[in-house]
Amino acid sequence: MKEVRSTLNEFELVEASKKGNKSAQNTLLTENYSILKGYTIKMTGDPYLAQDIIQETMLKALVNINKFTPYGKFSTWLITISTNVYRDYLRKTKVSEPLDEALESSQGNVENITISNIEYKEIMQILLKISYEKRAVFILKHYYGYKYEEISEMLGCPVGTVRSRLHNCIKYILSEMKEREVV
Amino acid sequence: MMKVNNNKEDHFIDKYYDEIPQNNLTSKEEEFIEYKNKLDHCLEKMDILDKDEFDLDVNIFKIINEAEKIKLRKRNKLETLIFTSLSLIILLTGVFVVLSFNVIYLVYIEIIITSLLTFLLISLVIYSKARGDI
Repeated sequence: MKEVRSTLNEFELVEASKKGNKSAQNTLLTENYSILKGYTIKMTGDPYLAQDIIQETMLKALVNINKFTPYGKFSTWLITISTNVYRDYLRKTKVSEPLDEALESSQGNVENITISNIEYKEIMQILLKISYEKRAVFILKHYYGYKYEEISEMLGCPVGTVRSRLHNCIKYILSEMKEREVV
Repeated sequence: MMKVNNNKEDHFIDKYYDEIPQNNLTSKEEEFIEYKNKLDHCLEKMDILDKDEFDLDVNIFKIINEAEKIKLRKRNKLETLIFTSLSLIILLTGVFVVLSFNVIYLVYIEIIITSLLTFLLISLVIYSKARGDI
């Protein structure tokens, strides 16, 4: 499949994708893959689960692409879908155990990897103890720098709720880090 | 370290994430800087989650083809539903006409439907061609 290069802007890619242009769909998904991957891994704490959620998110996005109105970014829409897919997953099942095997594939100095992996797991555990709604707010704010208004639109809740969720989340992280002596 | 009260802490978090103007809270600048340092120190630890070292097996081409199949299935279902509904309406109209009026009216209706259907089909083909479906 010949890839449509980024000479087309996102709006044009979305329009072409709506008409069923597979090359445009491929470019659109490839360009937004890394943000979706980063967000989903942080949300789930489990790369295998993240993989399933990413696939389902992309599938849902393509099937419903005609419903996407390009007022916001496509990545924002993907994150909204991904959060909904994860929420549905949590409703159906109990939360899975994160990580462990996945981290063993890292490359580099063994000692550094071990220290880094222990830290990674510790931090991920802190994050996973927070409810998924608060976790989503924190991830979107801290790692991706979205504004409160944008997060509120993405998660479908009032700005005040977003603000209070972030406050609670930060306070929890600070106290948990202190308790675990991470800092 | 100074103990920051809850409300103030919320404001400091908002300010830390640039959600309130920088010139706001100037009277509490010292407190804010102290709190900011604490946040920086803790939250920079969270940046470890930003490392991207997982190779996920996501096949975008497969997803695109799967989406295509799902859309086609949905469209086929819709078309079948429309076809069945229209057929039922036409048949029931015929039955109603035969029972309520004369059989001859059924012939008139069939002639009208056949003539109209020709034009309808032509318009549908033109529309589909314009959409690129054909």
